[in-house]
Amino acid sequence: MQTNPNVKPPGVGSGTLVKNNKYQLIFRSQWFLLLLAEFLIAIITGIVNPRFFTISNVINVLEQIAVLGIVSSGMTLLIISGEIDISVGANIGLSSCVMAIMIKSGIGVFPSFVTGIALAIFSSFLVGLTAHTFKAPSFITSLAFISVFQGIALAITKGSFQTIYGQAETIGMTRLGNVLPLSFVISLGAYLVVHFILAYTKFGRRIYSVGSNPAAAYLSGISVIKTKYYAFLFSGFFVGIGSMVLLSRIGAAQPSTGSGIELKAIGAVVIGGTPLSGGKGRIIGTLLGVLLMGIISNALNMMRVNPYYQQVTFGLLIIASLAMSIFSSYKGHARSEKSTKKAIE
Amino acid sequence: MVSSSLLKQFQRATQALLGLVTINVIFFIFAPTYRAISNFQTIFSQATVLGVMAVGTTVVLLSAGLDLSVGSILTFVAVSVGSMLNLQYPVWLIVFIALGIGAFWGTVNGLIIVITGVSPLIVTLGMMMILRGFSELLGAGKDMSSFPRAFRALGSGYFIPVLIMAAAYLVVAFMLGKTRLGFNAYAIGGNQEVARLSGIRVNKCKVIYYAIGGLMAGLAAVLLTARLNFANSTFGQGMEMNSIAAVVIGGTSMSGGIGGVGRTIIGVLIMTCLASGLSHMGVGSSWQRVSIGIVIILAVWIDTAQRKRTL
Amino acid sequence: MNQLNSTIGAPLVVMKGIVKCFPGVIALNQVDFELLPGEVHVLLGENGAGKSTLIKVLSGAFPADSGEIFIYGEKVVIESPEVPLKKGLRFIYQELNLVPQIDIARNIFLGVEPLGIRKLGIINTSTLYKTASQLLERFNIQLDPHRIVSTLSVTQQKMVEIARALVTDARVIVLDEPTDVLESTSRNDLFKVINHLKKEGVGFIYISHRYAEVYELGDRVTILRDGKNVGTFSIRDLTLETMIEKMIGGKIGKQYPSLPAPQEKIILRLENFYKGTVVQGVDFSLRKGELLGITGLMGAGKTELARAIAGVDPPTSGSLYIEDEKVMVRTPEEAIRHGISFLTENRKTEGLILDQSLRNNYGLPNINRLSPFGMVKIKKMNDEIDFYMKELTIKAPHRFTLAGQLSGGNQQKLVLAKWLGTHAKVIIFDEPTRGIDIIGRREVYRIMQELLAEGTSILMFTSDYAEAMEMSHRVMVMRRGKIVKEFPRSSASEDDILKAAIGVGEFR
Ligand SMILES: Nc1ncnc2c1ncn2[C@@H]1O[C@H](COP(=O)(O)OP(=O)(O)O)[C@@H](O)[C@H]1O
Ligand SMILES: [Mg+2]
Repeated sequence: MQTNPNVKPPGVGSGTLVKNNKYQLIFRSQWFLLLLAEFLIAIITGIVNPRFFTISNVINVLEQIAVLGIVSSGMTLLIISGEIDISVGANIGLSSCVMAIMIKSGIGVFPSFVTGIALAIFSSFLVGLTAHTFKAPSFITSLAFISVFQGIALAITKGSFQTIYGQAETIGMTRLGNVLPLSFVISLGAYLVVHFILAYTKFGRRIYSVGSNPAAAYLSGISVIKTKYYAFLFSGFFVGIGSMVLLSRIGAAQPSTGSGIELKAIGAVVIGGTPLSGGKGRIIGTLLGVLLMGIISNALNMMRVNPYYQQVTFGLLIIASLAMSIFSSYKGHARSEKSTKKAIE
Repeated sequence: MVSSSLLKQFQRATQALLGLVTINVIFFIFAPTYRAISNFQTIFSQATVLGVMAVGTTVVLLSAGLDLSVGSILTFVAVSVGSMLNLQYPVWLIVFIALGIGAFWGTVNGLIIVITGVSPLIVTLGMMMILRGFSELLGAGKDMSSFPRAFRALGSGYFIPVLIMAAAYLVVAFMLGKTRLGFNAYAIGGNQEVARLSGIRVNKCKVIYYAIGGLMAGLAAVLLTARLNFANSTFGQGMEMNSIAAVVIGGTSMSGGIGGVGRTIIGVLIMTCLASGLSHMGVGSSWQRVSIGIVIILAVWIDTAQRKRTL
Repeated sequence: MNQLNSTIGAPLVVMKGIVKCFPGVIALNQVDFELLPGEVHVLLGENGAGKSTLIKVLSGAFPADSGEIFIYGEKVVIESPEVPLKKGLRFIYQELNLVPQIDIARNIFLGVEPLGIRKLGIINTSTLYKTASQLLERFNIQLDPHRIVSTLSVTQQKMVEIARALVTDARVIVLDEPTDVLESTSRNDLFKVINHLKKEGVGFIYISHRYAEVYELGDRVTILRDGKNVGTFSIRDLTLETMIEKMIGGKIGKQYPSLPAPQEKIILRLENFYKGTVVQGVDFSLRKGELLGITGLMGAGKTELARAIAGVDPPTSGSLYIEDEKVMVRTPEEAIRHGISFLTENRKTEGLILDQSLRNNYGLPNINRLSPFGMVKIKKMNDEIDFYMKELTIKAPHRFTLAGQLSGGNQQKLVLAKWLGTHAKVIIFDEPTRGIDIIGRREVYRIMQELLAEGTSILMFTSDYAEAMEMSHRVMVMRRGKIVKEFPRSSASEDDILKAAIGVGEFR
């Protein structure tokens, strides 16, 4: 044990402080690498298919990633707080079906959206509530809730498409100044809100604390449970907004609407530098992660890859990039993190 | 020896057994058609597919792993089997290859998990997507039905499928109760670091457990395609959830280290009886799905409540 | 065992120039170590000296940053725990290392199960249970080998672990502070077994921070201090004074400051405090500006009492009065509101968030006060942490340094800073100087002294008897959940305290 961290022990190349700066550098450069990857993919796709760079396609990409961005914003909060929710896809399915059915039956667009968002918040809260009361990890309870949400959605729609073409298009179809999709602006809003929460509010600081060391947080007078519940509520809110935007853009909903988005959202968050173990992360990383997802998806379309291959590629890419991000920045921390965790248990 | 350890498993699973009896009593009273002998034959033959899959899931969960891709592995194997049958391969070879493909994907899962350190949840979710994609590619536009009789025999009626399932259970029960590989599963699931410090090759073992999970999914695919006499790329979706549910309801802890295949049988029967009984009572498939979700949550609850008592 | 004769005299284990760094800490700095056959080599050092780290490097729990290791004269690269195990080294770690969900026999044989058919890895279960019960008998442990480990007490679990190390022919056995959780009878059983195996040529590395045990058991002793080897001595050549001096790196007794006299007013009073079976009716009162020390053996209920007062694990019954007003404290949040701060014994896992900055750690209990309307006043938070960094002389480049990079002493000061921000009336310290070097210790004591002078009251729970005696106005000794004795400051020797802690009747 050395009192002065600057003193180098004999036989050791670098002091601990140097080590830390290196980590910070890697951490920062992970975002840099992300951007680089995005540029590269864009350029290659652009060469193969010049249409990639047309305004209409760029707008298309922005529109495509809007919902993912909104959901991922909420997921960022949740993952930093040390929780996860893999039922967000099913949650979107259920809430958008409810919204669609309500709109179809003539209840106004506004009350329908509000109800749907409230339902999404409630659903997300249920995942957190069961996880806490049954002392089970939230990935398990959220796994179970996938069946519940999808089952209910199937039951209320009787499995059929709920179309509301032309009835609630404003949010999904509007383009500000005829270029910028409103949905994308909403997703920017979501990023900003989450950034604000994380950087400037008490709630934000608490999220980091409970995510990285719940024991220390609790002993410092922070209510871990309450903080996590709030994280679920916020995530649910963003899921609700996401459903609204999605429904408005597609103009139809079915129980499977939104399925698979959970993996993309988790992938985007983790690729953006937020570890699944929680306690760390920034929204800018998530934004870049979402962008990567959008660009890859669009690039695959542009290169006319068979949609099934697209699915395969996506799965591979998510695993690969998560593995890369773990290799590059968490390997060094893994041991101390693990032992700290063990000690908490 | 095997039977005695099996018996012990049964004893520990009295609670689940009680649940099984209760739901059967309820269905006996309220669903007249449920009582028919033929219905029980159906239940048994249906239970074999889930049963075989759940054996593999038990091993994975025991070692504190998780495999959400087994449903998609089943799909992929089913579609592969379908294509091979169209190509007139001999039946034994097809079964062999099917098991091999299943074990292969399980191994891939295991390798990715231990090498990259990405959480099993994400890896197997990703694999689920990948395999669905592959299955669609493989199965697109193909007519995969009317299989040779020798193949159909594997899944028809209830005698042969139940025999196959029993064999799977006995082999895995022996593995868990009498071999190092099995003992290590409990140790790794209970406390991975202790296992490592005791000189157990944790990573190697984990890969094998995932391989077993995949292999059993492959076997389940054979039973299912043989029974239904067709295959397509929507097979097996959601099966991973049912399988996990059956295992947890049986009383194997989701957090690893506690459980066994004996109790999984009961869990499988509960799931199958529940599905059958609900449909005999006229509950639609969507509400069945909801109830499965709720049953899983209940099982998780019972699991944690019990762990609190014993630990 | 046959080869033994040929190797007698030649060292079983040699470690050369071992270096191991953790974030912010050089746990081992060029440490040399050697173990001969048939000796008990005591590895002595204060908490945090690096003893456990040294043996974990040997066991392959984690790799060393540099250094060489020879086992039976042969250079080995220990890349996994398998390597030393295969060579007949056995380890009993300080922390419990059992799989709680499985039974005793399976734990004892973990990784070395007796095989019926070797190739297939099929286990002979009847041999497994038979051998296990024989082994338990040898230790006078009356336990059914079928019992699940999680149902055992900590002491029983430790005994199972020790049995584990003896299940196969071991040539080197490493015990990391095994007696910390053992009762005196099982301690004697253990020492008997050690002395027996010694004669068979087994080498023991025995880790301890209690110098009393050294004379009872040891042949040679290696003393570690702050990650450095201070020297290896034959027990016969070493007096107690020099041993302690080498261990703490200075003369004894000079490290404690004078304490200002407490005031009359009673700040905190406990009445009939119970917590499960571990705290059995505790009453005391604490005056303004008073430091009350509470000591006792491990397992006497100190930590449980501290946590009960602080609302971490609320008491089962009993009342707590703050300035004569009865208050309910059921969460740390409520404790803070009533002016009680609690510094846990586990600084790294419960006191700090190691991978966050000093400032954010400071914010943990202070964030409420610093965030009117939920918005953090970042400037104010920065000013405050800067103030405390200067006031408490926390050695760190700046407030954004990660807490994990500080030394033990500075980490403890950071924990203190974090609680000073809440302006508590009562500060509860659990093991305030565990794992802190002598310089850091002095500074912690100095801060305590200043706090007392300002009228803050301190409750100090410690298992360091000297610290309890010299740093408190009054010392109370706890045994089996009860306060059994009270001494005024400097009125008793460490031995007196030990006697009270063990219960004089049972002593020897
Ligand atoms: N896994 C770890 N991560 C970070 N620091 C550690 C770890 N293990 C030990 N340390 C630090 O290394 C130093 C030596 O610890 P240790 O070997 O446990 O001391 P001892 O066993 O002598 O009490 C201490 O400062 C401790 O905090
Ligand atoms: Mg130690």
